Formats: sequence, structure tokens, C-alpha cells
Amino acid sequence: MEIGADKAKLLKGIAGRVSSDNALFVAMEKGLRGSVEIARGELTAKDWASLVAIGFIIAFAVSAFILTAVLPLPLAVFFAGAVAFVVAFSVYALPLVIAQGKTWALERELPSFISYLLSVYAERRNMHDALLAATYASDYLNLGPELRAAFASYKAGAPPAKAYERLRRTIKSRHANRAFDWVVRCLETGLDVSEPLGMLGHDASSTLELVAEKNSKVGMMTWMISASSGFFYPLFTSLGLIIMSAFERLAAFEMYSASEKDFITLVLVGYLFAGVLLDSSYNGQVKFGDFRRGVMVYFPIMMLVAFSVFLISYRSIGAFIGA
Amino acid sequence: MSFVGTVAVDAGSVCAALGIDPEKLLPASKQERLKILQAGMDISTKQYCAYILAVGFAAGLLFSVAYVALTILFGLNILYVFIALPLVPLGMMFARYHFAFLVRARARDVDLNLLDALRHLLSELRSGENIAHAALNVSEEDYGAVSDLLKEALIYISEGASVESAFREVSARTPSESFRNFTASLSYSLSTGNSLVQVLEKNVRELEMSQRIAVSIYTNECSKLSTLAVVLTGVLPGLLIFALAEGGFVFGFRLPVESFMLIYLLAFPLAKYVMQAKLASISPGV
Repeated sequence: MEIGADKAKLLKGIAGRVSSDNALFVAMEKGLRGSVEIARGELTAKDWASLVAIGFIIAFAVSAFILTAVLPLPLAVFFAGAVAFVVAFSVYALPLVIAQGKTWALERELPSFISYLLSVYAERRNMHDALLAATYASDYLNLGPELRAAFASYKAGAPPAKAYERLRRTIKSRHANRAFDWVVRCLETGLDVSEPLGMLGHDASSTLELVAEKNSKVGMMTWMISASSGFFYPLFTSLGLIIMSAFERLAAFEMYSASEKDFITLVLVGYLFAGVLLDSSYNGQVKFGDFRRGVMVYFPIMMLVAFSVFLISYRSIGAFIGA
Repeated sequence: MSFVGTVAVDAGSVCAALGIDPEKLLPASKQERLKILQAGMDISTKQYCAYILAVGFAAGLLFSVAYVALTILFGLNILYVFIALPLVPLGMMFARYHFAFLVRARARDVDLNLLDALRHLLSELRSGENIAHAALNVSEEDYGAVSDLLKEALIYISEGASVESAFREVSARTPSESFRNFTASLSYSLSTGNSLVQVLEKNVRELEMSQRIAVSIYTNECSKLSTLAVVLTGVLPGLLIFALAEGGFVFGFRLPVESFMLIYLLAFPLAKYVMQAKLASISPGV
């Protein structure tokens, strides 16, 4: 997932209009810096932090304007705040998701790169020649630009450790980091690294196989979990609230007062929020073995879907049955 | 230090300032003392007890404040504020459970990172490094709790302990069986003069096999828990409000609004948390 140059330019222009040095901006910038460095896009961490703030303000204004027309004021403000938070979080998570996607794509290309590198290295016994051949021979979509930039820097006279710094440290891929540690060690000392590199290539491909096997078995479950909290719960909940209003109209008496109904709605939406948060982290644990990554990847989209389902079904079913 | 560790240290300082001995109020069992050692948080037993107390009282206090605010906003029944009282021991129970979960998660973190760390160690040994230097190189990489344990072992070695006793010492600080097996094999190999590379190769093969089995167990368990999670915490909460609305009119009962809060904001999220904790404890980490 990449952002096109034109869109990036436009976003940069927008981000330039809102900028601040307050603690929240600095904290966001700090949190985003690592991902932005990996993603290598045109937008800086500062631009992304500004976009998060702009996203929050616009989402709050737009949703508050729409929701005050259909909900009581305190609930509309609460909903608008929640929607704005989710939108801001989605913007915040975007560079992290892009960086993660790039790292995974790069990891998938690594075994093939290592095997090509080793075959040339076995023939010529020279890491420089092997790197030159492996860097330019195949067009690795994600690894290629990194390899070419690092090799160009090395050829320009940078020490190997410095030239391959991004692949050894910045990009958070354990296998790639270790592979280029060995490559650098070989360039610096002339040590024969064919055995450890070969082992590493084997480990990387067996890990990929295992990940693919696990993901094929648990893929359906993450969909089920997402659907339960992002679709079924908000749908049934809004249906329940509408049925209650319809019965109240038919029986001509109120089971709950207006403020009690507001409270019930608040509690139900509170659980919608907590449920989606917990389920997205659960999905993260199932899919990536990491709760936090699940929140970053799944929470924004699941929350937006859940809010949409809740609000649309609440209004449309209500209008349909006249409640 | 982790969030729980920081809370424990701060709670310990507050108790000390107030002249309260949390260990006397809530004595820690022998098992809990072992967990404190294995948690890798560098906290004392007093601080652990203070953390349990703090979580319990914070649960009660936060509930009271939030409930009073909601009562002012929505005109709820103020008597329900007394639910804060049972929330204190419940919060303490949760704190104990969460601490035990963190210890299990750390052991899991060791298991997850051990295979890659051993592969790295093996490649270092094959390139001709000695065990202490190879361990140093591995500890400098990001292998989670394994890197921390190796760093601790290297500190013992730098203080004059033998490699065997240093690794034996750190293996007591983790409940991970795989790490203990590794240290036992390492000690055996160093004391008998057997090839360390061969021993490590065997360890790596065993771990690879157990990871494959772990994936199978995990996917089966995950399928069971996911189905339960979908029904219990996804569909049921949605249907419950539907049933309560309809049942209320058909059978003429009226559930107090405060009970919605207990069901939706305490019971269901807690059920989700318990299922997640169970799932995390068997994660194969790939």
C-alpha cells in the first residue's frame, strides 16, 4: 500500500497548514518516526502528526453537524467525539500499516535473494561481486530499491555497516537484519558466511511456510470475529432499540424514560467501542501474534464499519417502521 | 520498566509514605514470590502486594467517580454506587490474574524468541566464535525476553561465574521449559566436552518440531475460542438488548438501567479479556 506522489503532495500542502510544537504533536511525531523512515514516503512524521490533528477536527465537525440532526445533543457530541477519535487513529495507524506491509513484503523476497546471492558467492568467492549480481539481477519489488540504494552508497565509499544500516537496523525484520549483518561482516573481514547465510535463508523460508499454514487455518476466524463485533452486534443492538421504541408507541407507555434510554444507548455504544477494541487486538493475536499490531491494523476499519452499521440501521429501520 | 512494574513501584512508595505495610495486609504466597522473580520486573514482594491493593482500590474508586458522574448526567439510582465495594476484592483478584498472565506471557515470549535466538547462536558458533562472545552478539539483537536473559547471564559471567552456572542461574528466572532444556543441554555439553554445535542443532530441530505442533494446537484452540467469542461476546450482547426490549413488553418485566452497565461494561468485556488471555498463552508466535 503506497500513497501516490500527487496525493502525497496534496496531503503535504494540507499538513503544512496545521503544525505545532506542543507535547501531543511531539509525542505523535516520535511514535510515527520509525514507521515513516521504513515507509520512505514523501510525508514526514511531522506531516503525519498534522494530518492526524486535521482528521480529528474535520471528522468531529462533520459528524457533530450530521449527528445533532438525528440524535439528542449529549449523545451526538459523544458519538462525534468517538468518530473523530477513530478517524484520527486511522490516520495515525496508516504509516504504521504501510511500514508493516513493506517489511512483510521485503521478508517474502528475502529467501530468493539469499539463495541467488549464495549461488554467485559460491562460484566467485567474493561478496562484492555476489552483491552486485544479486542486487541488479532480479527486480525485487520491495527489496530492490533498498538493495540498490545501499549498494550505491557502499560503492560511493561508505563503510559497509553504514551503507547497509537501513537493512540492518531501521527495517524491523529479524531475518533481513541478520542476513545483512552477515553480509557486512563478510565485506569487512572476508569471513566465509555461506553456511550461516544458507541457514538463515532456510529459516526465513520455513518461517514463511509456517506463517502461511497458520494464516490459512485462522483466516476465517478473524473474519468471524470482525463480523461479530463490527456487524452483528451493532445491527442487533440498533434493532433492539428500535423494537423497544416501536413497542412503546404501540403500548402507549414508556418502559424507560428519555434520559434512561440515552444512558442505555451510551452503555451499548460503550460496549461497541470496547468490544471492537478487544476483538481487533484478539485478531492481532490470532493473525500476527501481537495484540498491539491488531489494534493498529483492525481497530480503525472495524470501528468505522461498526459505527456505520449502527447509525445506518438505527435510522433506516427506525424510518421504515416509523419508530 | 513495564506499566505494571511502574504501578507496583509507585504504589509501594505511596504505602511507605502512608506507613502501611501491604505485605501484612495481603501476604504473598510462595507461588506468588516465585512469580515475582520470574516476571522480570525487578520489584519487591512489598511492591507486588502494594500493586494488588492499589488495583483493588483504584477499581472501586474509579467506579464510584464514574458512577456519580453518570448519576448526575442521567439521574440513575445512587444506591448502585455500593457496587464499588465488591469491586475492590474483584479488582485485587483481577490484578493477581493479570500478573500471573504477564508471567506466562513472558515465558511465552521466551519460547517464541528462543528458536530464532538459538539459530543465531548456532550460526555464530559455526563461524568460530566462543560461547560467551556468541551469546553477547545474540543478546545485542532484539530477541525479546531471551536477549534479556542472555544479558543477565553475561553479567554473571563478567562477575566471574562459569558459563554453566551463569546460564543455570538465569534459567531459574523464567518458567519457560524450552529455555531450561537449552541451559541443561548447554551445561551438559560444557561439562562433558561434547560438541556444543551438535547439541544446539538438536535443540533447534526439537524446537522447530514443537513449533509445528504448537501451530496445530493453536489453530484448534483458536477455532474453539473464536466461535465462543463470536457467540458469547458478539451475537449474545446484540440479541440480549433485543430480547430484553421484547421480553419486557411481553412478560411485563423491567430491568433496571444500571444493570445494563454491569452486563455490558463489566461482564462482557471481562469475558473477552479472559478468552484473549487464554489464547495468548498458547500462541505459537509465527
